[in-house]
Parts: sequence; C-alpha cells; structure tokens
Amino acid sequence: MTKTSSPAWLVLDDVSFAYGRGPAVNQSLNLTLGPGIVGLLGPNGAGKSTLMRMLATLARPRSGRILWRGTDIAREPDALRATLGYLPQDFGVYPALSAREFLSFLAAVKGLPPRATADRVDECLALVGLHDVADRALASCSGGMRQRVGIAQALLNDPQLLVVDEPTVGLDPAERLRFRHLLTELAGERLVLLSTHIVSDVEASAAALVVLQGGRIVFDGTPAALVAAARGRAWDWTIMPSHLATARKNFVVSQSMHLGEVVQLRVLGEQPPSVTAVPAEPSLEDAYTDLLARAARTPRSPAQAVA
Amino acid sequence: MSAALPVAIAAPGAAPTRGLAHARHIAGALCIADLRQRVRSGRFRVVALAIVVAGWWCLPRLDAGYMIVAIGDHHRGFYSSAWIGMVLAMMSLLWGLVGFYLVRGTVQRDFETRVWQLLGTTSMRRGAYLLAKWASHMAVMGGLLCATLAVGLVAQWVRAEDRHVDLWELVKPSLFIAMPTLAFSAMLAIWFDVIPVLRRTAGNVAFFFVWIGLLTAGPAAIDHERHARAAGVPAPAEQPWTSDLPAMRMMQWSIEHQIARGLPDKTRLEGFCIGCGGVDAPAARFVWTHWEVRPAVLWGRMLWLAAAIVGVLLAAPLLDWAGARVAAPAAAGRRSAPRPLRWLRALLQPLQGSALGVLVAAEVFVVLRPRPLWWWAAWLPLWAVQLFAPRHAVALAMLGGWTLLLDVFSRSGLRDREHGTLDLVSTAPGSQRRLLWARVIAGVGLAGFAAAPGLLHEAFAHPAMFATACAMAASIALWGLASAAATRSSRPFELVFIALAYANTQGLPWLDAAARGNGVVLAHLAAAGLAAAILVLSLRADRQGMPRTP
Repeated sequence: MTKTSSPAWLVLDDVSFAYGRGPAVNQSLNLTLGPGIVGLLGPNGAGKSTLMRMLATLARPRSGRILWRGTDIAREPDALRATLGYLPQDFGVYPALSAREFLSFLAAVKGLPPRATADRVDECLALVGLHDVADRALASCSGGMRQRVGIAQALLNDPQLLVVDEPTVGLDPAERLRFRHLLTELAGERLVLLSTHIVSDVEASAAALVVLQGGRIVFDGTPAALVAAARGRAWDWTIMPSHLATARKNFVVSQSMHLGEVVQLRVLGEQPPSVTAVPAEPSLEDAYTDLLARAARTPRSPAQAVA
Repeated sequence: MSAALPVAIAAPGAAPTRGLAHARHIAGALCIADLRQRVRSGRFRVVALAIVVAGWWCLPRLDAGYMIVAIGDHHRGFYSSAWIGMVLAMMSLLWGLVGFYLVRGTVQRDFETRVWQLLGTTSMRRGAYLLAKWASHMAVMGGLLCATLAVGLVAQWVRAEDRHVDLWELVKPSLFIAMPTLAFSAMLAIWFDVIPVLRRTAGNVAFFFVWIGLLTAGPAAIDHERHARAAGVPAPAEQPWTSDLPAMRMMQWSIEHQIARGLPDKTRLEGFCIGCGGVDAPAARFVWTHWEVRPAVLWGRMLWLAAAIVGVLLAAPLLDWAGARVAAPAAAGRRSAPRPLRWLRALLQPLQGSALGVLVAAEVFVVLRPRPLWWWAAWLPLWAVQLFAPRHAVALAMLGGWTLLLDVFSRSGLRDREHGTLDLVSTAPGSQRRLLWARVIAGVGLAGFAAAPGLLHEAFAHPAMFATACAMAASIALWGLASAAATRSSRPFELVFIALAYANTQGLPWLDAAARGNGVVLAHLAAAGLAAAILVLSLRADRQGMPRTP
C-alpha cells in the first residue's frame, strides 16, 4: 500500500466513488504517495479518470477520505486547489483569446499576483514550446498546440501536486518526447500523477506505478517490481499464421509479429505454451498485460495477490 | 496475397432491412433515443411540472379574481369536458411558443457532439432522421398536452360545475386545434437547428417574432371578415374549411354560431381573450357541452399537420451542409480567426494591473472579438438615435442595444460549460467568486456601454430616465447571470427578455427606460436585488464543496 519511504503528501484512505445510485466506479482505494512521478495505468473504464477527478477536487468520494498533507480535500478543497495543477483529459479553450491571454486569464482565475503573472505566463509558454505563437488566436491553433496550452496552464501556479490525465493524446512523437522530458524536470519536489493507457509514457518517466482494474488497485509499486513479478512468465513462441487465432484464444498474447512465413508471439503464463516456446525477458508492457490477465481471474482481491 | 478477415461484419442470414421498413426502423430508434435523452433531464421535469401547474391555473374558480380564457365581455362556459378541452386547446398558442424553446436543439446537439458524424455515414435517410427528430418533438409536446388534459379532467371534477365526463369532447379540441399548432412549432424547431445563424440566441429571438407573426394572422382574418360584413358582404353559409395556424378564426366562428346565435346582443360575445387577467367574476357562463364542427373543417386542420411534415422533409437536403457548419462555441472560432480588436486592448489596458481587471478584460475580449462587422455597424444608428432623438426613441435605441448584447447577458454564466473550460477554472481556489465578480462587472459595464450615449444625453435632461436606464442595465445583466445559474440554459432569459421587449411595443413599460413614475425603476432595483441574491446562493452552493458527480 505504501509506495516509498518518502513523506506522505497524498493519502487515499478507503476511497470509493459511484455515479448517483449506480455501481461503484472506484472501490476501497488505499494509497500513500510522496514526491515523484506516479504513473496510473489501467484499461478503459478502470476508473482512472474518476480517480483523477477526485484528486483534482472535481468529484467528492462517496466514502473514505483523500488527505493532502493531512487535510481532507472534500472538506477543504481550497487547501489543495492553491497548489494543484490539473490537466483534464478533455478541455476547451476560448478561441477568441491568444495563448498568452488565455493563460493570463487562468492565472487570474487561480489568484496569481498580477505582477508575477506576465513572467510566469512567458515561462510556461517557453516550457511547452509555444513562445513563438503565444499571440496567435487559439481559434487558429492545432489540437496539439491546444494540448500544450493545457499543459502550460497546469504549471501556472507552480503546483505541488500535478494531475495530468492522458496528457500526450494529440501530441506528435517529438512533442511526446518533449513532454516526457518536461515531466522529469518537474518531478523534483512535487508529486506528479500521470494517468495514461500508453505504457511507454509511464516506462519513460514514472518511478512508481499504480494499476487500476475494475475500479480497484491491482498493483502499487515500482515498474521494476512489476517487471520482476512477470519474470519467468514470458515466452517467445513461433507459430504458423493459421494457428494464430487458436493461440490468441487459449493464451495471453501480449505481442505478435509476422516474420515472413511465421508469426512470433510473446505469450504470458506460468507454463510455456508449447515445448517449442523459449523463455523471454518481459517488458513493462508484458508485465502490465500479465497483471491484468491475472487480476481478471481473481477479481475480488487482486491487489494483494499480485502486488 | 489475400486473407479472410476473422471478424464477422454481418450475422449470416440476417439481411439488412431496406426501403420504408428500414427508414421506419431507424426513425423509431432515433426517436426513442432522443426521447429518453430528454425525458431523463431534470429540466424537462421542471418544465413539465410548470405546464401542469399552468394548466390548472387556466381553469380558475368562479371567485378566483382572474380569467385566462374568456369570450367577448368576460364570458366563459361551464366547466364541462368540451369547454375545458377548448380552453386547454386555446392555450396551445402558449404551449407552441414555450414548447419550441423546450424541444429545440436536438439536431444542433447531434452536430455539436459529433454524433451526426456517426449517423451521417450510415445508410440512414436524411428525411427519416429529421422525421424522427420531429416525432420526438411531437412526443414531448404531445405528452405535455396529455398531462394538461389530465389536469383538466381533475379540474372538471374539483370545480364541479358539470361533472359529466365526455372524453372525446375533452380531447377533440386538442387534437384538431392544438396538435397542428404544435406540429408546426416542432417543424420550426427543426429548421431553427438546421440553419446555422438561427441555432443560438439570434434564433431564439427570431422565433418569438415568427410566432407572433403567425398568431396575428388569425385576428387579422377575423377583422377582415368583420369589415367585409360591415360593408355588406354576406357571411358564408357554412364554416370555411381553411383556418389560420392557431385556429382563431375557426374558434371565432364556433363562438359566433354556436353560442351567440341565441343571444339578442351578439356584440357581447365578439372576440375572445387569452390571458385576460384580473376580473372579479365571469360576466356570465354558458353551456358548452359539444363543439359543433364540420368534418371538412377538421380535415382542413390536418392540412397544417401535413404542411409541418412537408416542412420537415424540405430541410433534409440541407442536413449535410448544416452538419458541416458546427456552431459549438469551442469550435466556432476554428473556421475564421476572431478580430484582434487592438483598440479594445488599448482601451482595457488599465485593467491589466489587477487580477479582477484581467478577468474582466478577458470576458470582454471573449464576447466582443468574434462579432461580425454588421454587429459593429448596427451600433452607429443606435447610438446616433440615443444622442439626438427624443426620449422615447432614446429608450427604444437603448433596448435595441441591450438586444444586440442579449447573448452576452444570457450566456456569460454558461461560458465555461459551453467552451469546456469548467474543469480548468473549477480547480482553482476561489475561482467561482472571482469569475462571478468579473462577469457581473463585464455584464453591467457592457449594458451601460450599450446605453452610454443615451445615459449621457439624459443624465441632465431627464435624471429620472437616467436612473431608470441604469437600474435596467444592472437588472438585465444580473438576471442573465442568475437565470443561467438557476437553469443552466440561456433560453428562459432570452424568452423572457424578448417577450418583455415585445410587450414594450404593446404599452407594457417593463423595459422602457422612458417610462414615467417610479414603478419601473423600483421594479428593476428589486429584480436586480433578487438576481444578486440568486447569484450569491449559487456561489454558496459551489462553496459547499465539490460536486458528488463529475
């Protein structure tokens, strides 16, 4: 449950959430997080965005508490909001404003002192590489540029907690790389929560990893620990293409690649799928796929079983 | 090299439906989905409740002190099934207006949410899609009409003037008077979604005048017939099968020939009023247990229904064109860059020194930069009139200015929802309070700016008018925000504003800055106070903490 020996900044104490009277989206979440980058992984519908919204003070847990440096954020959201940067998965902008004007507007909304605003806006624009187009109306900006404006606005108040939900969606490979570097630079004395379904984003920047499935935490540890858990469970297996469908049906296949007349599979499991299969070193993606497959088989108490 | 796809794209043996059955299937599915989407909203329930209450209110007790529907010199029928049915059908003039604002926007929503991109790439016929939307509109309005009929039934029993229930006589007027009227309103709701310029505030304003135009056709025809008769032209032997949309001429004929034929003084039953207001008691009651009407006349009414359906189908060829012109606020600017308005930036530069000033300036930029040239040009005559014309024209020009800014007043409180910036601003401490202040200042400032030449002109010449205009500016700006906070829609405020503006031309001075006496200024001061209280309450609700559902 506890990630590292670093100080506990953010504590989730038996947190659950449901929409109205519907079924629980998040159940019994327990976490203790300190400074650093924490990757939040999970399949679609795992409850990642809902958890992010609770952490961003946009949704109140149905039960349990979320403590930011000892303060319950459901009772005193402003205690966290003053030091929170949030990049939602979907957001809009005012197309009539330029990037600089929009960021100045949001700086004022966040209550930044006006004298410091202009410099801070320039810094943030430079951080996301928008300095050259800062005065262009957002109406004429591409989706990727708008996404970078979103990243910049999250940094305006130099947040202690940075919550970013699918931040690299819409970015080209160069921008994605730039964003990963930016996250690493930012991670020093702050807690960055990076929610994504792109495993490589987490692999490149996160020191800690939380995996959600079916609204529950199924893993809480380091990426290396997750990979270690999958060691001895990954197999490379070469088969004929005509057997591919059967193999997919009977085994957990994390990768498949056509190599001329044959197909090479990465199969995950305790036993090799065939005597012709050879042991392989699992990647983080393999380990993640293996974890989800195991958790799906033990839906009630998966975290303890696999963490 | 070829390979069989391992994914079945159609169930073997399940031939897709074609032709009329296919269209009916799609239209049915669309209509049901649309209806579910609406009926599950809280706003629908509130409006339904309001209409049910209004239906009860239309059937007052004998000593209630007011009348809603009366014939001639405040006569009405005993509350029989037939008369109650007739009263509720007459109210369709109002339901058609309110219903438009309730049902419109579903086609627009499909465009803005990009659902249309999913639907438009299927084999669905455009006409079937629009007919489904129209049917959904009709189901909503018809459902509300049924609810008022149920209220009418209860009223008949409770009022106990005539407890003999005749369901056909109760329903008949609604079927032949109200439904064609509502069908036309539903058709216009489709057209107002399809034509890009009519999708938002401009359309809400325009519809009000279209509806008023449709309503005036009836009284005009009645007057014309009266003049013709006075000039010696004989009345037709039987009721004409044609009718105006709200069937006023038809109702007038029925009144004249069914009730008044036995009375010596027919002039006492000439005409009828809807929303008659305060009356001590009805002048007299008459027996109305059966609405006499020729079948040909009823078939004539069905022509309006057919016209509405044809009108819906006529919009089908425009659908793809309309779907490509998305007017969602977040996307509207993508087609053309807004004007930078450097003069405005220079004008607002002094505000940049404070956080609140930055917010106010951003509010003003957001609302003024996307304005087209004609909008700016319209201010020239309005301000010229405010500077040089007599006071009544000045008041009218001020009202014109506020109307030009109507979408600013009605939508400022909804901007974060409409632009998708709500999550960005909601996670900042105290952001709601700051934004509210900025919007109040920007709204009142723009309302004052719209009337600035007039205010300057009248400040010394007519201080009372100056005070009234200032109170109106504040009240309009605050009510726009309060209405948005309370209803999360721009339409209620737009409808009330434009109805009051129209009432201004009919002698009701609620938006007339030149009105004499203290009544109007006091009313606006009170209204501004009430609106401010609603805004404070909405802010308090936000302060209670985070919402439970995202």
